[in-house]
Amino acid sequence: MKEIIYIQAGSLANYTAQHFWNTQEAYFTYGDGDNEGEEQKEPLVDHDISFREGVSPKSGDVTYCPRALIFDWKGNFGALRPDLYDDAGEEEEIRNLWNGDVVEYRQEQIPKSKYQEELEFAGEDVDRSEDDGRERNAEKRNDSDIRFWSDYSRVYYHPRSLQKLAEPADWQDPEGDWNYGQDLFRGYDHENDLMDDTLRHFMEECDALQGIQLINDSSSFGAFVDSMLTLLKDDHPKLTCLTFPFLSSVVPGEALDNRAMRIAINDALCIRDLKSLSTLSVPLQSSSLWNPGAWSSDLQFDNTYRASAILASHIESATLPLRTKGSVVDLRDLCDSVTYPSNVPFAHLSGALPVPIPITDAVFDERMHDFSKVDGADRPSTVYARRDVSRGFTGRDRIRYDAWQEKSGIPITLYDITHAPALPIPTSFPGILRDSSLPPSPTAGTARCLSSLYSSSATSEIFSVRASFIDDCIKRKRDMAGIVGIEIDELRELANDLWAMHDAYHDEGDISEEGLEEEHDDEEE
Amino acid sequence: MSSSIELINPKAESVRRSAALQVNTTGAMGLANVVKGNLGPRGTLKMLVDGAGQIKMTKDGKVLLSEMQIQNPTAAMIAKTAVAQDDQVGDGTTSVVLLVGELLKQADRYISEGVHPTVIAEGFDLAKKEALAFLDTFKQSATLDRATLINVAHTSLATKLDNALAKQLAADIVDAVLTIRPPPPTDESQFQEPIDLHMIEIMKMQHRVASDTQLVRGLVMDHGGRHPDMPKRVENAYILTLNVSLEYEKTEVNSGFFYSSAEQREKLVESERKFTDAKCRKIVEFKNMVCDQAVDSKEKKKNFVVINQKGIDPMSLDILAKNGILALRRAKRRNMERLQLVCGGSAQNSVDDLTPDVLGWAGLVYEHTLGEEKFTFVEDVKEPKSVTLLIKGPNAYTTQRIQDALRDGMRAVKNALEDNALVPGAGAFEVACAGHLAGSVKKSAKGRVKMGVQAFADALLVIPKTLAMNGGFDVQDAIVALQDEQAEGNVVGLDLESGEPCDPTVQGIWDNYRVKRQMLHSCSVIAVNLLSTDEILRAGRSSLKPDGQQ
Repeated sequence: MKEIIYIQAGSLANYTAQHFWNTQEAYFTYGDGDNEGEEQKEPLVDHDISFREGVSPKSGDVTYCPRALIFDWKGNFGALRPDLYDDAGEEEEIRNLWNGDVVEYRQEQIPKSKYQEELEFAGEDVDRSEDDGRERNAEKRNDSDIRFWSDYSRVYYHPRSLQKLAEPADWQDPEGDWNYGQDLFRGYDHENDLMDDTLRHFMEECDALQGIQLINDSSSFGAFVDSMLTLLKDDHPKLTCLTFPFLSSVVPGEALDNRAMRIAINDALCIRDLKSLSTLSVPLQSSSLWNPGAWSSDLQFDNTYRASAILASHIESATLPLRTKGSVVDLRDLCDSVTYPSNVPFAHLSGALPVPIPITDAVFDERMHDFSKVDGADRPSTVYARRDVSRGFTGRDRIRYDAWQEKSGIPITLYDITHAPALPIPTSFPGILRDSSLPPSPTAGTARCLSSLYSSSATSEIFSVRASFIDDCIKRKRDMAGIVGIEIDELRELANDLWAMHDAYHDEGDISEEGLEEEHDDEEE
Repeated sequence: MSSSIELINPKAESVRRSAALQVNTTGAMGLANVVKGNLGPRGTLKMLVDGAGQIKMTKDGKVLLSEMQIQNPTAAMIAKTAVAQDDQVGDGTTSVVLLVGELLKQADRYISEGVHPTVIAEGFDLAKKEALAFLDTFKQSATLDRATLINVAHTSLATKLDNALAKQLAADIVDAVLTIRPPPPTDESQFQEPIDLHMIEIMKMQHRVASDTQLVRGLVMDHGGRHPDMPKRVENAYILTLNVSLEYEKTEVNSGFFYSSAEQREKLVESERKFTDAKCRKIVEFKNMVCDQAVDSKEKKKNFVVINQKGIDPMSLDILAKNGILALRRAKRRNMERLQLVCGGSAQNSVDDLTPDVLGWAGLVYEHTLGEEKFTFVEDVKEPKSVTLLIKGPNAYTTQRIQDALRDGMRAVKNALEDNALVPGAGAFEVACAGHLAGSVKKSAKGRVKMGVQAFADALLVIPKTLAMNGGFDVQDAIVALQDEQAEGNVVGLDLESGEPCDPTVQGIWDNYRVKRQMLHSCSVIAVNLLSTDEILRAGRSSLKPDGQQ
């Protein structure tokens, strides 16, 4: 098993994915042509898993581009255009195939970001060492300069990757509009042969596809992605799919006005459908709902650029075993191993970034933040399965970690850790630390972190808060069909489905708790 | 007096009656002004350059409307209906937008003099009914031979591409559609099957120049063999079309987490692998059976090609390559159907019990590489029922524009064949219909409704007027000349070379019957809706812009 195809949709998802790709780019070890005797450093990851190799038709040069399908509103791409092979612009003489007049309509040109200019400058000015470049960048750039996710891109995208969707008009509000999103997908697929052309092309290039890794904003692109997955599942029933839906910032219980209600129900629909469409889903809470605590005392995540960097670091680390050279774990293994006990394919993502030196138990107990957990749900929970990845842990750290793990009581068969080298921090990484002298800062180069995918009895609350919210909505008997465009019977069914998903956890939880207690009893005897 | 909606939601705005009509009229006319320049073979080509510097070139009203960010709600509604018109019949977007704008403009003249909008709307309804009836008498059941169909295709293409290319491609399009057209029913009780344009593959190749665009009597696929030892060119080939996974699939128990040693894991993989290998071997055995020839045979060497909708992994490719088989993986779903029509045979869902009758045949299968793109041509086939239009051009916006034009041209030919009728083009229908409405229909209409009929008749003339304007002729002179000719009972359209009246049936300028029908229907429905708007409400973000600006 080898290649992964990445699908990303929506603004926050693309901000996050851009950090993810920049990290992937940082794993490349570029051979130095001058010192032939020197052995090239073996890269940590197998690049062919996430990147596709191509050839420029004009120069014959080899290109490496992310194996990704990127959906966003046209305006969110910023200055990025499908120009890998230098053929989208006006440099060429325009042969217009027209006898008559030509009228030009030009939108105001979006200037390149400072960071992109610096990258180009650094490319031309090879004599300067990279460290010098770093310092220079750190002085001049400001996190608030970032306007679009493409502003801090360190990779080149293949033209097929860029899927620019026509923006809705000012007076349209597609957030949480389920029917709008479904129509949008149908129309786009019909016009552009998305599934039979673009996606199939990426699949045709794969020798042994591991599966799809998908991240998307649920309120703007949830229904869009839902339709896409439904088609994909029809054609490829066995295809493995790991999804990271970024939930809206609406708390179901507090969704009082119509718009908030619509968005909350949209989230619920996404989650319900992912049960059958995805092999494993890891819902992520909006950064506006992240509760500050010990985990965040050093961090700042006040804008999308920063918050997405934190999420990307953990998503990258937690899925790293899928991409490391010689790894035997593939996407299907990872998904199944976390879902294994409950049969409802959902998990949490949690993590600590940065991990201080020296490491203490507090890192595991207090500094691990759960990015999936429903706010306020702090009841003690039973962990069913857990996959951890540490970055940059020393031998001593690992011993500490093992000791802590033993205390936690997670059955050893359902638990796994991979120790990996520290997380590379490219110059595109924002200053997420309040005190910028602490690592990771743009000059540090790497960061230590601990990331974890796990399922527990608390996972069930993702479903129960939404189920009871929809029950409430139905009770209020408002014109639900008018507000959300979904008939009341369908909403009843949705609530039932979500309760069933909740109950599946609950039953399992009881069983395994009992099971564990029995084991303990045995030991005591 | 404040609107009831404002009592409930103070942020909501409302615009009522006359003001609402004003908003609609300006919105509709504003949109018409944007697309006006597109109409006809002398319209202007639009070059759109977005903020990232990406280019789009179009003369197609539908493409233009989809690319523009229309912020005016009235304009957006019109655009949506006009685009739907294109989806249904393949053309007429620009005309619908122009007509709606003109209908509202004409209506406004009467309304400003105190006529109630509902009276005008009533007149529009009557005029539409009569116009549709008139269209049925105006259409001509010309003999749809190849030459006439080429004229139909050319009329459509000439509004999108330059003369030379339009001429060249018109013949290709007609030949393509005639090839895939289902045979007429043998006995009269059966219905003629519709033409499925999906059976014409449109393949884009970013290469050379647009005039290299051509019709390929066969199938062109956008992928090739994925093994270095596979043949790149085979003649006299059997084609096996498959929907069978030739990829190693591991079983549920084989999870990376449960294996301590690599050896243990490899053993399991090996046993699982056998299952996939067995499928490949069945294909090889089958190939050997059908391609078996005596060593000294004088017959041409037989070859074997596998085209699979599912994946084929490197080890399977290796087995096939070693046996001289060219194999393609992940073919388009639609190519399964097309391949059967191109080279015969039938797609198989299993490799068990393969028999020679499931095989197709092609005289030549070869691969063509362009940078990172590979193309496989299946050609030299017997009586293909599916073909490929291969578009070439130096860049993405050129190939895209040719593709848009070809689609419209194909639709025009299909429409003509299915309508079994044509309508004289170059504005002839609109001139004739306007004369008919302003004459006998208006005479028999009752009371004030006459005004609505007259407004509709005047509005129809926007089509020849715009054609004249885009051609650079004096609009009044052109219209007067056309109406004079029409009054004498001639079928008359505008010659865009001279600006004089001409007979479009002689010049070979033909429009589709169903496009005109749909156009009359769409434009009057939208116009009547907009006229009967009592109140426009908005509780959204931005405010109402009565100036119709984008």
